[in-house]
Amino acid sequence: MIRAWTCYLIWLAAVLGANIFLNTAETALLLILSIVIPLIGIVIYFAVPPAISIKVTFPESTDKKQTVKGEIWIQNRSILPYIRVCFSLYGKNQITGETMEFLIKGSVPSRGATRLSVKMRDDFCGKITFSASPVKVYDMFLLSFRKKSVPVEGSILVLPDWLSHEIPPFFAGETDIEATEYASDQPGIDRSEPFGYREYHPGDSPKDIHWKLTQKLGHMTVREGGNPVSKSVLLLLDTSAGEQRPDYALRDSMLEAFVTVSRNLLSQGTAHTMAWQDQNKREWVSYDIRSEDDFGSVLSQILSASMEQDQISCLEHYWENCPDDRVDNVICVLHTMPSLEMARDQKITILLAESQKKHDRYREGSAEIVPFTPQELQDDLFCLSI
Amino acid sequence: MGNSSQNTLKFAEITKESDSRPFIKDLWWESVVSFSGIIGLMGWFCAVFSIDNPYGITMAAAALAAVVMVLCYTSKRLRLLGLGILLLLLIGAVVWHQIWMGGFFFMINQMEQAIGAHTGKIAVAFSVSVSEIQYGISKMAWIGLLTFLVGIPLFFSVRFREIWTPLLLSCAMLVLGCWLESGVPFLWIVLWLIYVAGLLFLRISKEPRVSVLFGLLITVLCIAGALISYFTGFLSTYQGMECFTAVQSDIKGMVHTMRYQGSRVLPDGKFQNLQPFHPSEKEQLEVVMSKPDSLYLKGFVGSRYTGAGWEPVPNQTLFESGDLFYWLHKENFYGQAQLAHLALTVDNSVTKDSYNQISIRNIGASSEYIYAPYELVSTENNLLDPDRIGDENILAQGIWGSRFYRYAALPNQVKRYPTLSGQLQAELKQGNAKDYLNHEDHYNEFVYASYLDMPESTRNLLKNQLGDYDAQGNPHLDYQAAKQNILSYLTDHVSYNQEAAFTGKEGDFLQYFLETSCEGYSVHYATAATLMFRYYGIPARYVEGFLITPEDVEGALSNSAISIDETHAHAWTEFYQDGVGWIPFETTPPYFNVMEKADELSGIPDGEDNSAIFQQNHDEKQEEEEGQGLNEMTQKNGAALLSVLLWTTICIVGLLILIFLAACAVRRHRLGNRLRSLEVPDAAESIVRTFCYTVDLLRITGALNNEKELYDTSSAFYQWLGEDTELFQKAFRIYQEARYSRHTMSQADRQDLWENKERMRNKIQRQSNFLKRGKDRIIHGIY
Repeated sequence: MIRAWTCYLIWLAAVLGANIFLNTAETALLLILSIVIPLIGIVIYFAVPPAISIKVTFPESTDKKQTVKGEIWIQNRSILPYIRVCFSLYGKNQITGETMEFLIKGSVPSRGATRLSVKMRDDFCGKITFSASPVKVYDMFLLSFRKKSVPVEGSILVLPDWLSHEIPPFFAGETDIEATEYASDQPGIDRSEPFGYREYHPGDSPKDIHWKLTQKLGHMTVREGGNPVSKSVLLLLDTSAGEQRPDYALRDSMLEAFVTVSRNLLSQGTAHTMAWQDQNKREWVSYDIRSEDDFGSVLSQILSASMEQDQISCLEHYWENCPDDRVDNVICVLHTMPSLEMARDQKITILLAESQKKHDRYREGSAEIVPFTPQELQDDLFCLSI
Repeated sequence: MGNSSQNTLKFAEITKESDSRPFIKDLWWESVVSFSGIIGLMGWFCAVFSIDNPYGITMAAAALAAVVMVLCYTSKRLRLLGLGILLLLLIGAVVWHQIWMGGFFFMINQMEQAIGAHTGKIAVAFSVSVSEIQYGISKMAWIGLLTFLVGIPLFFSVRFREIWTPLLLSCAMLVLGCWLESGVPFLWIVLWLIYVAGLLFLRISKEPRVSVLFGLLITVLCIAGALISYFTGFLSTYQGMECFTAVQSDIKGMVHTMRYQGSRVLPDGKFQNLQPFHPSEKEQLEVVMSKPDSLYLKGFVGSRYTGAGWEPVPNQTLFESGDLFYWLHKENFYGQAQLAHLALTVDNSVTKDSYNQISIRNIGASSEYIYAPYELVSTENNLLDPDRIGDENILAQGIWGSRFYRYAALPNQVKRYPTLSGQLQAELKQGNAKDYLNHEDHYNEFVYASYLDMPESTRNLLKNQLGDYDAQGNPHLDYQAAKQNILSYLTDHVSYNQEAAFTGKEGDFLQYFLETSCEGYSVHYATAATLMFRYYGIPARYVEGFLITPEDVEGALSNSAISIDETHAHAWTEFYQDGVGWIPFETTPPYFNVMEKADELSGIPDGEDNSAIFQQNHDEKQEEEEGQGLNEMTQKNGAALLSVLLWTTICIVGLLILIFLAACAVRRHRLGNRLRSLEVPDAAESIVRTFCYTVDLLRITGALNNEKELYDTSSAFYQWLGEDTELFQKAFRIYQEARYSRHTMSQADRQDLWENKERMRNKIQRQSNFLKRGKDRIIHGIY
């Protein structure tokens, strides 16, 4: 705007000079127009409130370290065209807390939209949400502007690397013969207690085929195993941070570990619960994960789990919010060692994220501590068993 | 734990990398804006220089320029069409070059006329090589060609959103318009505004619809403004605003004071806020004379009485007499030096030995004027500018005027002008001095046409004060009677008072002096006397300057400095004595006996009879030359101008080539130094330098757009690298290690960097064509 004013004042000075030295009707008219037209422009732009909206469109998700193309749409619902709208678009990775600022200058026709092609990339997973600074809407000669706060639509998920494909299953087919209760709403891996029968699907183990029923019904029928409740697992993600937050890579690796364990449990048919403290809403959230669909629907929430300053670890939050919970196995992904004083008779596995590995896996009371680093996440989680 | 890892969330705009050319429909607004600019600029140009503008041709040429440029920017086939039209135009211009060159000289002549009329300089026209029948067509051809040529840069400025072209052109238009003080029709201003505003909006907005809309809006508003002004009569009735006039006057006054400085003891003909006359003893001039003599040194000369002061004859009016002064100056006849010219013509006793060599150092007076006496010898100085039209005074050259000058003058001729007149009469009777009389005769006409004017109200005032007179068939009252009438009136009716002042609110200066205040000093007396002379039909002018009195030179040694202070400042009147020239006449009572009196007042018969003889001679000449008029100026040969233009162009091009070659040589030299510097013994330093050179190489040749791409493996740069990516990334790592760590770098690392550099260079060379290789080597000097 300073440049516009400088140019305008130079122009006015020049026209004024022409009036002083020529003093003709033409120069007088030029002076009048040079003052009146910008003035009218300013008045009109101040009288009509801007109606701007911003939308950022990217594919729903992308992978880490992948450049993805998208568009920024600036929509103008006003009858006035805007020669210059200016704002900063902010992007934030909810998981890692990475931020970016991108200055946007554009023109928008009246009752129309303009789009800006952009590309984006992040090396860490998380949900990228967008916001904008108040939009500056300029008059036709850029001499003045109005500010308007505008909500921004749009987000993108940067997916974790799904390390589960490279980590061997860590349950190793163990069956808890001690289990006496079975889930009624979900099949499991315990063949000793049938859950139900269904048609054969390609890929089912031949061991599961119920030959007698197959003979009786005339088509292949398999028996689904029961899901021993004692095998129920709770996955906890620590979203608390001290005064200094863990670095981006550490946060990324925590989420990667959290998701990886969940995916592996799913691949073994183990229903489990994922839970964390929602630091934005200051409430405890938990989701039952029984299928890939459940996982998919929760993924967006997981990738939005921002890490904020909080003195209470996720374990303490869990014990505080779910005092009567009967889950036997708790897997907790943390970046600082929590206090285990309140530990109940649950089996606790702590996946401890560290920038540099200080110990190999070890036990502390009833808890097994599995340290891991972002660089060696795959190796550190190898043969994890609960 | 802190954020030791880097923020990897990156966001960037995708710039359109398409090389596809725009369609005609994409360029329509740009061509409209260019067209408007071309017409506006040409209209303005022709209006300012009063050049005949065949508007149809201008519009057609502007449209053609816009169309050709648009064609050259669209698809390949249309581009060929555009280039074809350009080629045809070029062939036409070569074949019919004589036609448009005739128009070119017409235009130059008209420009010279406009500039001459403004500056008061003689403008010698160029000869036009086309026949009279072809005048019209040659003007049209040149204007069309010029419009087309002007259109090309304007179109480019719009195409590339280049703001410098309109900015520089607007400045030039403004300065030239203000300097020439020529009004321009509003239509051209509107068209130029549309161009500037259109370009501005195209530059600000990337959205074509928005820039078009705003451009059209400005167009509509400007046209509406023009129409409203036209129909309300604003354009025709506007007389200018007083505040602007006042500011202009103040600015000019400030600039004048800054340039010439000088004491303001006399008003330079401006009587608004005239102060009482209180001269100090502050030194104004230091005069050195080889033959010390009393002189009137003329400074300001006023020819037009405005009611509030005196002004010189406007250059516009003087320019109408350009032919006269061209010939007079060619014959070495100057109004400012006429008295000396006459003396040298008719008085054989006046020789070069009698010249008075005068040096003047201007210490405190205005440096605008060359203070010169009536006896100035025109042949012995270079102060008289032969190209300057006018005869009032001698203006100093240079921005800051002149503070020291020398010239030759005759001994005091003012006191012996009646004698000179008598000698001229004698020569006339013998049939001599014909050349002088011939020149004087033409000059005389100009003098009578220029220095008798006065407002009608002033004439009536003087008629009331002086009464009617009988010129007895002559064009004016005889000099002696006129002088006596003026002196007796001023002696009887008004009194000398140095305290007299005039604010300007009192009305007419002369009327206030003669009817109301009846008192004043030299400025008042000189003004009244000048107008009274004019009333009696005798050409006269108001003069301000300095007096070197007989008292000042009494006892002064040759070439000794005579100090002239403010008390010597004086205003007087000068009248034109036919055949003789301009003669100062003293009417301020305290000054009656200050200067030596003319012979006529010393009892020597004056030339009253001579006047009648000169008049008779003048009438005879008029009859002889009736119908012939003054010859027109000889015309300059246009070839000289063309030659100058050609050589100027060649010199500029040659100079640019030399600068280019020198720049290339410097770049090659620097490259050599840089390449040698890569081989320093310190491996780490060598690695850093080698990598920096490689990055510069990549950047300058266009492989790398910006350094950010080095960190973005998905960037176009890494795609360009292809199979060399690994090598480059390795080199990058080694560079970072060499630069930011304390590790000792090995020769192998150095070798890797060197290999990387060679690989990159070879890759660039392989992918470049001959022209690009030449550009990179010679212009960029990067390998």
